[in-house]
Parts: sequence; C-alpha cells; structure tokens
Amino acid sequence: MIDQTTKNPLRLPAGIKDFIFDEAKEHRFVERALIDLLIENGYGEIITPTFEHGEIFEIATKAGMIRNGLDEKVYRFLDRDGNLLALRADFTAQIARIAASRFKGLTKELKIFYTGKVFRAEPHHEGRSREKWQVGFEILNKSSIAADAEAVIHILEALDKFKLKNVRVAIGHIGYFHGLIKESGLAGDKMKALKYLVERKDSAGIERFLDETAIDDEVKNVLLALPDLHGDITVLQKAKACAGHEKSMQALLKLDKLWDEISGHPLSKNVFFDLSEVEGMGYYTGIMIKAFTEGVGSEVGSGGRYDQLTAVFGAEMPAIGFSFDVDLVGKAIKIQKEK
Amino acid sequence: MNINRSNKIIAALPKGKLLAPAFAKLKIAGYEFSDTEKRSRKLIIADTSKSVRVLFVKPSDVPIYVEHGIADFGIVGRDSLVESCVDVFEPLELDFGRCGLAIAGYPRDENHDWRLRSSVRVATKYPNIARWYFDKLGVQAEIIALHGSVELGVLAGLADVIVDIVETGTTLKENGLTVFEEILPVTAIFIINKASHKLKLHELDRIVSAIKG
Repeated sequence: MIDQTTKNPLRLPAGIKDFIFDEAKEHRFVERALIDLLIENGYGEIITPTFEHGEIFEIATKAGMIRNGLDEKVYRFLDRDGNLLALRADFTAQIARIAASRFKGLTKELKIFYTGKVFRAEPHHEGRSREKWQVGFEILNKSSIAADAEAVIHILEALDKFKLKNVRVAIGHIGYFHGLIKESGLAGDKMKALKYLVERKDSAGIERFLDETAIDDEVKNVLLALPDLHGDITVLQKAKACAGHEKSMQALLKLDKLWDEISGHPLSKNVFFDLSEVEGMGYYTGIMIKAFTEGVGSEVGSGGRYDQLTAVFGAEMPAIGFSFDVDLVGKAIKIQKEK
Repeated sequence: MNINRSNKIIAALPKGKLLAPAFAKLKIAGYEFSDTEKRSRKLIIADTSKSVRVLFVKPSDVPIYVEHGIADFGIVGRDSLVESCVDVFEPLELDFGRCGLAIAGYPRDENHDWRLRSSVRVATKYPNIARWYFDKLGVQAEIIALHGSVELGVLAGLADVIVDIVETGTTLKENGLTVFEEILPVTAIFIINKASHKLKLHELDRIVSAIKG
C-alpha cells in the first residue's frame, strides 16, 4: 500500500544517487584509469573546494559571446553570516579562478587534472543526474594547435583504454559559428534564438528564422547548410567554399592543422568533424569536443578551448580542457560487456 | 538491458494517427514492414530486411525514448516534442500531422484583456507549453494539467480557457467554444538522438535525405 500521508525521511532528492559496493567499484575503476593516464602524461592534481562564493560561476558565464544555461543551474545558498555561496557547478571555472589568482604572471605551461562532483539543477524530468562525477584535465598557457591535438589524443587513448567499441570524438570550432554571426550582424536575443536552432540542427526552423531576418544572402546560404556540415575531414573543404568571414576561415584552417597533427595516430579514425556542434559552455572560444560511444545516448565527455575565461578572473591564459563523465563511461563499459 | 546495442537502427514511432504516414516515410527510406507485423500486438517489430526495429510508443513518449538513446530516431508531433523539453536533434520537418496548438475558450472571453485578470485558469494536456506561453504574456496563470477532453474543463467550470490541439475546430464549435489564438504550429518531426547522430551517422543521414527527397 502506498501511504500518502507521510514522507520517508530517508528518501533522496531527485537526481541524486548512492553508489554501493559493485557500483562504487566500477566508478573507482573508471576514475583510477583516467587519473593514471593523466598522471602518466604529466598532469598534476588540483583539489578544488565543494562550495565557493556565489559570484564565481556567474563571472565565468561573462566570458562568452553567448551565455549558456549554466548560471541558471547553480545551487546557491546562504551561509550563517548571510553570504551567498554556490555549490561547485563547473570545475573549469574554479581552475580558471585558481589560475588567475595563484599562477598570474606565470608563462610556463600548466597541466592540471581534477576529480570530483559537479552539482547542477538539471530540469526535473526523466532521471537526469544533478550530481555528476567528473574526471577532467586542463592545459593552461598553451594556445597552440599542439595543445588541442594533445587533448584530443588523451581523449582517444582514454576511451581506448576501456576497450570501448564504436567511439566517436566529435570536433567543432565555435569560431566558425561566431564568424557567421558577426557576418550576419545578429545580436542579443536573435543571436541566441539562432544558436538554439543550430544546436538542434533544426533546418526548417533555421529556414523560417532566416526568412524573417534581413541578412546577407551569402551568410543565409551558409547558415542553411550548417546543420549538414558534419563528417570526415572532407567536410572542412566543403565549409571553406562558403566561409565568408575571416573568423570562420581561421577556424577551419585551425581544424585543418589539428587534423594534420592527429591524423597519424591510429585512433584518429574515431575523429569526426561537426561544424554545427555549437552547444557547450558559453566561454569556449576555439575547438569544442564531445565524445560518444555505443550504449549511452548522450556524450560521455565534453570540453573545448577557452582562451578568455581566465581573463574575466584577472589574468590572461589561453587554455583547453576536457572532462569525462565517470558515471556514463562506466555505464558504457557495462552495457558493452553485457552484449 | 538496453536493446540499442547493435549496428541496427531503432526507431520510435507514435501509435495513433501519425503511425501510417510515418511507416510511409520509412518505406521511402527503403524499410518495408509486413502488414501482419504492423497489425500485430507486438510492441517491437522488425522490417522485412531486419535492418531496423520499430518500437510502438505513445506519442508523448517518443521524445523520451529518443533522448535516452533507446531509439536512434523517432517521428513525433511538434506539440509532444516541445512539451517534453528533451535534448535531441530535429533535422527534418515532415509534411503530415499538420495542426495547431491553440488557446481557446468561450467567445465572450475572446477580447478579454488577460493582463487585467489576477489569474487565469488554464486546462491543458500541455502544462509546460501553457506555462511558457502565459509567462511570456506576463499573465499569471493557474495551469491545470488534465489527461483527456480538456474542453470539458471549461464547460464544467474548472478552467477559463484551454490550451490544446485544434485540427478542424468541430469539437470546439459543437461545445460553444472558439479559438482565440494559435500558439504553436504543429507538424510531424523527424528527431535523432545526439549520440546516434555521431555513431550511426551514415545510415541516419541516408534516411533523412531519402525522406527529404
């Protein structure tokens, strides 16, 4: 019988889980394997605090051309003195805060890794986790394509380490889209509306949007083609044919160079380009990466280049980072084993 | 157990009116299904070449099966897609299932100035969409989620207005109600799971372009 008069005080809030014995073991296995790989590659750990002052994550969202929804998902609360605090919603923002205050003026390359949970108030429907366990890495003070290539190779090797089948690492470059936006002259809510349509690859929606918007025909045609600009390296050639703005062209040349750096790697067959992949942290300025594998319906990790994020905290340091979702990598391993 | 572990494609199709035209689209993409299978009570069927499996689901559940990657793609009305707030790709609008999601009520309320009411009571099967619409208007609304015949909500005095699908408007007319405004044009949409888009790209691209024609 369901007793509707009382609530079990032992219940958990939605989106929160306990991991007991075997599940904990599976998670630690994923965590350790990732950490081992990062340590072997010269990364040093930073343990960040679980909560910070409320503004940190708000400041981080100011770094982007277009804000994403992170700010709205931060859990905020008051401490006993009435200060507004926030639970960790993003490791990268914390690392940027730490880098800007502790490593300011330092020009040597910094390789950092972290492990722990981020807390995000995901919409309350069909079982989205509100507590995500991430293992991630950041390469600071290195703006070169070599750093981007290094990041991509770590991701490929990490997923290979788990013997995952059918792995795809999708790479886009937000600069391509930003170039188109600049060319179009769109701003504010209109720009945000278009970005949402592109994120969903909503071709019909993009067409309707452009019909109602006065922008250059050439830019219109590229925006209409954008949802289909995905595939192997040849897609970059296709995109170059219609990249009007210099910023878009530069983005494509960077992706070209990145491919030159990684194409010799045996795992590079898993790399895939998608120029309409524009969804991610608002602070991304360069390549954006998402990793997928069979058995999980969403990305098992994501990241990108964020050259202006540390600047909003007071020190300019170009950087790239990526984080794995430990829960989802574990889920993929389990599902693929069951087969 | 997750049935989606092979290289085969899995589709979530909506039971009801959209099902026949959805099968017609799959046929264009080269997938044929035997009539006995289609008419059976099975919840999962395969096409004659066994390269795609179809899950029969309630229309409003299609987006959920696709978002979770149980199905690689689905066909669903825009009303159910928007209401579900799922994170999927929607690369193709289809040429069937056309109707509109509208706000309707008694004709005497048609020119009512919503902004002057302290609150308006809205009966609907689409609580999320209704919430966004009235939030956008800046009008305080009391959203009453119902599962069937929302018109009755107004007739019986449970609500002032409804937000619902309007096709011909016959039901509304027969009950003395009228459409005030369409708030969302609806057609059937082809949606794709975000991971499947990357993992089964070639096959899904092929299906989309075949249907696009």
